[in-house]
Amino acid sequence: MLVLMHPMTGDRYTADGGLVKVERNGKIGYFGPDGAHVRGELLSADPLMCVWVAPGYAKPAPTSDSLKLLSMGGNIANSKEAPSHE
Amino acid sequence: MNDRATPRGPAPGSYYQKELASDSRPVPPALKVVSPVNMPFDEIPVAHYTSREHYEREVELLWKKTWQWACREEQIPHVGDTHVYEISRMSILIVRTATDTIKAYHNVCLHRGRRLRDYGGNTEELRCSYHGFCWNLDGTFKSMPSPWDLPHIDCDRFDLPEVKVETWGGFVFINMNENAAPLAETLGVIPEHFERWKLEDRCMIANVSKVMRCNWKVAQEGFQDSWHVGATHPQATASFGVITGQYDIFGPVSRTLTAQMAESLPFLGRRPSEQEKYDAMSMQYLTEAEPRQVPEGMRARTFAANEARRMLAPVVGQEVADSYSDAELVDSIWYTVFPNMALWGGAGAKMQYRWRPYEDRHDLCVMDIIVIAPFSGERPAAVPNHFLRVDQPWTDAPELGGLGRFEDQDAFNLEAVQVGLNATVRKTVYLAKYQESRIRHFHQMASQLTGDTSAAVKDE
Repeated sequence: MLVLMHPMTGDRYTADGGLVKVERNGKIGYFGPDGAHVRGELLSADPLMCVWVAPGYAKPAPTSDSLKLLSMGGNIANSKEAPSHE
Repeated sequence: MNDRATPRGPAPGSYYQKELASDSRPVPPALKVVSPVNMPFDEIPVAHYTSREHYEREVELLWKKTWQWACREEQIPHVGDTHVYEISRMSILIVRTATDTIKAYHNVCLHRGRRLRDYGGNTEELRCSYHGFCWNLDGTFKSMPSPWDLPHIDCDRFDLPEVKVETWGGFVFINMNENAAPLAETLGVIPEHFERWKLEDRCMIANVSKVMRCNWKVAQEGFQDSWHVGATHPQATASFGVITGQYDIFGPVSRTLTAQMAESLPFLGRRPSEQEKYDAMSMQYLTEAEPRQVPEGMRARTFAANEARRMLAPVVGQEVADSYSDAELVDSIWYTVFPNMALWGGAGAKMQYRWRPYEDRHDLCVMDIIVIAPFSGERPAAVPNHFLRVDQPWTDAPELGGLGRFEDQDAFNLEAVQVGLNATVRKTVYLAKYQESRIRHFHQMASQLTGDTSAAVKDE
């Protein structure tokens, strides 16, 4: 299990079942691998530390269209899957 | 005037040159050169990243006129080996036609225009899979089906149109402009600066490409400064010389020099331990059950350099390994070969980057990463390309090791940059004077080709 202290803030980031647990001044929050708050008292985290601690994030930055598709259970990234070339 | 700006920054190169002064070995003269240049282009038009019209101008005036790294020589080691290099809507076929000769052609059948080869590989002839028109490896016309039906084709003038080819450092470069100046004009100081590092004597140990949802320049510009490391790669800030990097411009070439496990880390606002610096640089916490310990009283930089020499010695020889300075072994040293190549220098395994529009899209690009490493004995075969779709993270390529996590952090921001550029109500974005001078340099070089002077536009 990867545990890392943020070099600048001292916050503690822990990979936790696909989420990132962040501890700051006794408060705890859980965040997605893109830094979005999921649950817990602590409401903010450094998203780039979350990307580092919970790798695998490759979703494009959400657009209004992709959010609609995601809410319907789809994924715009997959719907426009690009073929391999080179 | 921004009254919240820091009144005075460090002298260009001062931090990095101080690191060099404490190196345990003589440092190559090229690293001691400090060459900042005040570049114009305080602001860059948003349209340069979002407009189809600007993209079309780049296709015609930039991509069709410049030298581009197409492949490595080791990817086509045998006579008859081919490689397909595609950029935007252009397709180029690179062919080893003799042991010591590489040629390149527009990858198009002259009959009905089908792409001549869809992928690389070895072949005895260049045969179109549609009707079977065929050319010799050297591009001369070989045969056609039903020649009685094509009396209007002059077989003596039916050779494949050639593309210029040159090589340097084991890289094969192409230029679609038949009147192009020699590659040496594009490379500028690079052959001299890379003389000690002999990239031609390295082999590919990783070869990964990924589609990214952004204009190719958005992606490339994410790799032309070390300033962004502070926010984009926070886990590395205990090692990386954020805001202490050196930025140089030498004619057509630019570079950044950034110390790892630096003595001075003003961005961090505290002094980390040498062990913390080493851990941040090595990322050993990701893989090592028994982490290496920096000996008491030793700088992490010295320890890491010694480790690198120890690992390199069996490959390059003890004498050569011992001759490398700490800087060459541990620092980030990377140059831009205009327009789209990041060439990393130094001893040991080095990644090399390239960016290009994906297919004919101005809003999608492909980032290519190869890692080349010294080897001993017979040259290993080049590794095949591992292509990642737009929805796959870089960490799907385990051959990149911890680098994949770094690239995911970059992609996280860069794809959101494109979203923001598409959404902004402003006409321009801003560039820093020094730490983004390489991006300014790129735009100056590009505008000389595209004839676009709108980079001087200021938002109102």
